[in-house]
Amino acid sequence: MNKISKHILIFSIIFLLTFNSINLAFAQAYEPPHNKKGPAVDKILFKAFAIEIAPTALEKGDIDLYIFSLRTQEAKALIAKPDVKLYQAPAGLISLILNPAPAPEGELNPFSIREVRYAMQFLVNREFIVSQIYRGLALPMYTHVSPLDYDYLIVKDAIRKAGIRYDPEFARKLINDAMVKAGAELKDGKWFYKDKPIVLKFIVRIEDERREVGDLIASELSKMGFQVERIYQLFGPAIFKVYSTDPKVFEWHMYTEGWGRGAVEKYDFASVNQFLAPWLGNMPGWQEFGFWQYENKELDEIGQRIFRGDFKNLEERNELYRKAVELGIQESVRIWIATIMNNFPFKKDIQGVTLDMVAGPKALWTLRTAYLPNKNELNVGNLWVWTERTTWNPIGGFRDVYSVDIWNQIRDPPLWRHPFTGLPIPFRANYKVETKGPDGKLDIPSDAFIWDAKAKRWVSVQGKATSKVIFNYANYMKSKWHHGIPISMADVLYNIYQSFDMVYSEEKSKIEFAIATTSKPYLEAFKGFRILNSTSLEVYIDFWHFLPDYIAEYGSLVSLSMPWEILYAMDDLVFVKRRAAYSDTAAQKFNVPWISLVMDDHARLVLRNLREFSSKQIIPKEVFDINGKSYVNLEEALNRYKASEEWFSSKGNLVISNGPFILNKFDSSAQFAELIAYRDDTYPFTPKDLYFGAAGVPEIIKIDEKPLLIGKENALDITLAGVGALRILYSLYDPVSNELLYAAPAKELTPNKFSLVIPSQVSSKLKEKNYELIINAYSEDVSYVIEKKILLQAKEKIEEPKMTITTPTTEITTPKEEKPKETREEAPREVVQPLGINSLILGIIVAVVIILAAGFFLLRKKAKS
Amino acid sequence: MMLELKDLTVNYLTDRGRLKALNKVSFSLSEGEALGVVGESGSGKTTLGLSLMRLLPKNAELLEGKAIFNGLDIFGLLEEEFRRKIRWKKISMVFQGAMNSLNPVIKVGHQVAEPLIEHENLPKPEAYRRAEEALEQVGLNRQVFHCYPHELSGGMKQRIVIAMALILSPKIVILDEPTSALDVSIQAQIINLLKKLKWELSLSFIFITHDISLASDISDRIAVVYAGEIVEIGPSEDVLLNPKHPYTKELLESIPRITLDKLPSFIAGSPPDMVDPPKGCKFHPRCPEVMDICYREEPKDFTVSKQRVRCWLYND
Amino acid sequence: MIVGKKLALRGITLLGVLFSVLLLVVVTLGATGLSDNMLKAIVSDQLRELRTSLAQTIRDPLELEKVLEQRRNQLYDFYGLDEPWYNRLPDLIIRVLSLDLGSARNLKSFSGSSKVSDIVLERLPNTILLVTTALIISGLLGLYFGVKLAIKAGTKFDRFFSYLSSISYALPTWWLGIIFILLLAFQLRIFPPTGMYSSPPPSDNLLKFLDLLWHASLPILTLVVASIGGWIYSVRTMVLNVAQEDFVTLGRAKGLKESTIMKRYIIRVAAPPILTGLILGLAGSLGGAILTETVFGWPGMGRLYYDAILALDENVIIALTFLFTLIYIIARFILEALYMVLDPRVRY
Repeated sequence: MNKISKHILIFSIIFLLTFNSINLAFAQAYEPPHNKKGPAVDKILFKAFAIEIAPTALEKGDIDLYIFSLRTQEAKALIAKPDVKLYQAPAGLISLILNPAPAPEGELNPFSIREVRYAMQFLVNREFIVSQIYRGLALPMYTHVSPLDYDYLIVKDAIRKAGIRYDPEFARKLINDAMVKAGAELKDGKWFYKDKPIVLKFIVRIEDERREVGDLIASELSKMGFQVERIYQLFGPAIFKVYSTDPKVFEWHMYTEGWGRGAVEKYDFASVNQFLAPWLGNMPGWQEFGFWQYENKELDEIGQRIFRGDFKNLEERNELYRKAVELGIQESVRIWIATIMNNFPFKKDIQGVTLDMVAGPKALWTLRTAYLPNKNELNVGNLWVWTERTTWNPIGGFRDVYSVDIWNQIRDPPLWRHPFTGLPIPFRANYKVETKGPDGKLDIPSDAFIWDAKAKRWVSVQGKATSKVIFNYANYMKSKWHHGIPISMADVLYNIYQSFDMVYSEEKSKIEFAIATTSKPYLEAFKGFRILNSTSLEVYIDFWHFLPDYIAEYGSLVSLSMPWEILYAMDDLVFVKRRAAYSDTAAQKFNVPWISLVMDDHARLVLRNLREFSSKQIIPKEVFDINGKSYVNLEEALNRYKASEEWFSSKGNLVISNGPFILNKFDSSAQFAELIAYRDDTYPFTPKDLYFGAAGVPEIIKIDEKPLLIGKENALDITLAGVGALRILYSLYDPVSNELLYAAPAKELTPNKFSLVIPSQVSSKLKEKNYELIINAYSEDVSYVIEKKILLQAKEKIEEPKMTITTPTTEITTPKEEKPKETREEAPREVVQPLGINSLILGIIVAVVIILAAGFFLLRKKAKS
Repeated sequence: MMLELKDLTVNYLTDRGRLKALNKVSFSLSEGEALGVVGESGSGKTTLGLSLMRLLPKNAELLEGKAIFNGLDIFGLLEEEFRRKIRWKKISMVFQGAMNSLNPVIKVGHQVAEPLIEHENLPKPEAYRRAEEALEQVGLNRQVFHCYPHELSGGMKQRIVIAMALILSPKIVILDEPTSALDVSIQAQIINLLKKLKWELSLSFIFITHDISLASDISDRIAVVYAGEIVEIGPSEDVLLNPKHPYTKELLESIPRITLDKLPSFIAGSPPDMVDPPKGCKFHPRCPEVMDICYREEPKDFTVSKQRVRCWLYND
Repeated sequence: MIVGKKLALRGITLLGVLFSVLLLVVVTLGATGLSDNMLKAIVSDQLRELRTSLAQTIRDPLELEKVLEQRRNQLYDFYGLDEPWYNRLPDLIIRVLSLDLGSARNLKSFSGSSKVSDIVLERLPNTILLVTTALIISGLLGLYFGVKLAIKAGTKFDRFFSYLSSISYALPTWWLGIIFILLLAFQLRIFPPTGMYSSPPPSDNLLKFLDLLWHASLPILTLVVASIGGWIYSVRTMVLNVAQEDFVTLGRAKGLKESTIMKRYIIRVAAPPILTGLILGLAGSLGGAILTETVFGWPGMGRLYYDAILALDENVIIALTFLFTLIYIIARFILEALYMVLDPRVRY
């Protein structure tokens, strides 16, 4: 049986057996607690607890759930508890990066030899790492694409072809051949080059299980004859050594990388470049000026074509992708090890949990629909509620997860990502896309307009654009902002104006330089806007993707996160009065506060502006005047100012948005926040509307296993269960030669029943022996691929057909992270590590015994008579 | 007879066992009389002094003994009574090592005046005046009152300690090696001072020292102490010119003299371990005139001419 | 007047110490390359993150590079890397000596201010409430029991409590803290486990203050239990040393009351070293107790210093070093003066 598939299978089963909690989740239907508009619970309290204390806090009822991931140890301890459910999401990936730079004269860097790097693939014992070091809370990986990605279907063959497995003897052979050819000698089991021993510097991160992983790999390498210098480092010094030094200087030969799992794209274009192609700056050399660079023209070319969308159709794209992954495996500069799971403990009784493929229960959805029966409050624990990076401003703030976690419940975005497929979907706005791409262009109508920062007004546009998106904001406009003011087209206009002015106004772009420079290329694609009616906006953009949802996502410039008067007051503060800044760099540069609407001082600055606008009756007329029509009159504006001022007097903050919760209290020193449900009849959603639950991962119910008849056309029937559009890809292999004999998509008989056909041209070439049939089942609507392998015998003659019922092979919902795309090393917030509770109690007992014993001894001692 | 000490026996409880420091020590002291107590280190002479002051450390055991002072057994008194009536008022002490006898952070004048304030409840100005007088009495300038101990020389400190001992006009002053740490010329000054005070104030001294020649200068009578016992006691002249006990003889032989030709001798052997002392006469291992009985029985006190000697040689 | 001159000399020496310490910190941060390297690492890390997030919206590789280059320059500016360390760090010393503590780069006060003085003013009371209070309690209890043990030296009472004291001394604060949290906070629910206030905190000011005290109880208890042993034992030792001196025996011989002996002869003489411990301890307590603050989630001065070092926030590091050293030399100066009053031997 092919080792890789076997391992995927085994670990999938282990997952299944250990975490039946997930299965229960998707077996339950959701009973919303009520049909009122707004969220499921009336109140959410956010509290901060250290990771070590979180499990106890959960047990004691201080919190009902914890949305920061527990570590392996704590997670394992909670599994056994009857009233706790552990939800998982694939959180991180770990890989080993090798330094391929050439050594200076007289020395040899083994990793500069491709074959030695390739051999490393066979030295990493992924099974051991996943089952022992991560205690089953991980999945092995062989390329940057795992069964948790759609693209796995494209690359699975490449993986199989390479035959990556733990095989130290095979590795040894590869290494020996390559090293000898390079002129090295093996003396006493150790490698020498020109009489000097070959020493490999291995930078091992110590904050997590990577330490053990590093130790394991180091010992395997030592067995191969290399002297491994283990350099244990924390985040800072490790980053410095690896990423800030020239590879040629050889401060490092190997490093244990860790990545946060980013938003999964159905058709990835960024990750393949991030992990394989040098041009994006994530391969040794890091595109730092002056450093030696790892170069691979072919990977760069392929990568950039994928990145830019430079292909005619999906097949061409898939072909490019496959080639890139194959090249990556050949080059083996980055060795993939495993996907690690995040673990989020919840009280078992919590209903209404949606497991996003990336973020698990942490995404936007769950807290809107979750509740505990007979309770209308939810206590949410996080590592922090407030840190220094917790800055609440929608322009340049929300740079840490703690603020985002809360903010996500306070505002409703227009578009979001589907929790199971990862594709963009309408959330509070609807859209319709029309495109003439990739080559054609649409005409832009004459009444379209765009903001001219120099002229300081809306000007009409002409010309053509590749695509147009019509956004329908009815769900917003029919409802209100939290402070009672109806959401209107004026808010839409202000959003557009603000983005453009910040980038194109010379003054403003100098002040908020970071925001301006990073947003500019994005805005360049926008060609014009048109207001169709009181609720719809038409956007013209030069952007194309073969999936129209992505075009809509790109064109969703308008975020409608805060009412325009707040944005206006902040703009004035930042750009005119220069008393605050949106971004941290600007704040530091101009020595002003980095504006955070939850901080009393900052909110008061904004409030002062609002009062000034009120009393002086100032409104930014030019923003709301288009072609003679004005979208805001003075009275409306004054009402808005007043409403915001009143909000501040009652809440003490200026966080006004339109989502299901309002921010009632925020206390940074107490690490506490209180959210209260926004229950207005005009709000569009009830809890039922937003519930997704857990993704139904496809299962194979029945396989019609029967021998293959040589020379005849063979058809095997398979029955699947799952949600969405189910599909199967199958491949036939000769297990001995590892040759791919045939691969094709299965024929769909009914939505659940498929027929796998082996045509006669193929079967006539078969001999009388066993062949491997790999079945990959997936759903178009869930980002997860199942693999099953069966052995089929090829025979000359007919026999009794065999029917086999196979048991469900897989499992987990593997959540993904939502829009904030984090694919970088995370700087851990340092927390003191205490002993586990059991060892603690043991320690106390031992200590008490010692104290008593010694006490007796001392007190007994008397002077001799 | 102002003070009569009878059969004082003191042990120390130590880690190694019971140390027999004093064994049936008896002597008498008259008014205005100076008794020199002479012995080697570890002979028990300091213990003798501390016993009379009832300042023995916590691990000391007073097994036996009476100290009759003006008809009253002062060993039988309660601690508080002794403190109020006897200690420092009737019997005072000048300690070995005056260097360390003074509190470093208080002016010396105040330290001298302290007993007056505490014991006599004198108001401070009065007490300070008396203290100044005391300082003058010991030959110091009144200004010294305001000095701190570290500002004074060894000799001056010694005088102050003497002044302190005299401040309540005691009858008996016990001096434990008062001049050991001083150079010879200062030594002479202090001895002269003591003689003067003895004469002026009719003081009785118990002068504890290892230096027999020094003792001879000031003492009327001398008691020689060996291994916790008084082996010979008598008028100074007699003890010095006509020593009876072999130990006394050896002691005197060991003093260097300018006028004699021969070199001073030394006493063979070393002082006994008082936890496990020799049987019989404690001096017998080193005695040049040892007899059989000395090995077996502890000698009794015998009177020989003017001395009392504890030695079998004088068994009659 | 000699005394005055001597004190003045001491004062100048101590100021020299302050300056040297600041210089030392600056050289450590700068000349070793520590600061520059770490900051550059932080920048490169941020750029790498930015690269992948920008890749979502900027599809032209050249454009992407250009934007990143601009961002890098900004970040270098932000972190002060545009100037070499010997230009920027010494300036910090001069600025700090003029009592301008500057602003933190990332750290903030709870009210949102970046100014170091605001952050310190916010955190200092937290630390004082915790560490200084614990110190005072330990110190006073230590004094009382230490003297008591010294008086009863050698008895069972003394031996038993000395033994307990050495245990207390040996117990690590953080371990004790966690045990207390587990026992008293989670099992017995007498005290809250972490944080300064309850969630939600009471709105009434008096109740809020009581809530704060309640939250402070466990950490203070931890600190006291962990440090009291050391106090008791050192006081005991110092007092015993003095109590065995000849002049104390002579004091008793002179017929002075035991209480007088205790006050004038023993404590008065042992005062200088005990006071040294107390005053330096007080000064040191203002620097916070980083482990206790971490375990109990209490934002104090210790944690601040630690966070600043981790983030290589040069401003804050220098400002805090300056502050702590300043507090120390002030304490030292007070001690010098106090010594001169208490111990006449030191006057010349």
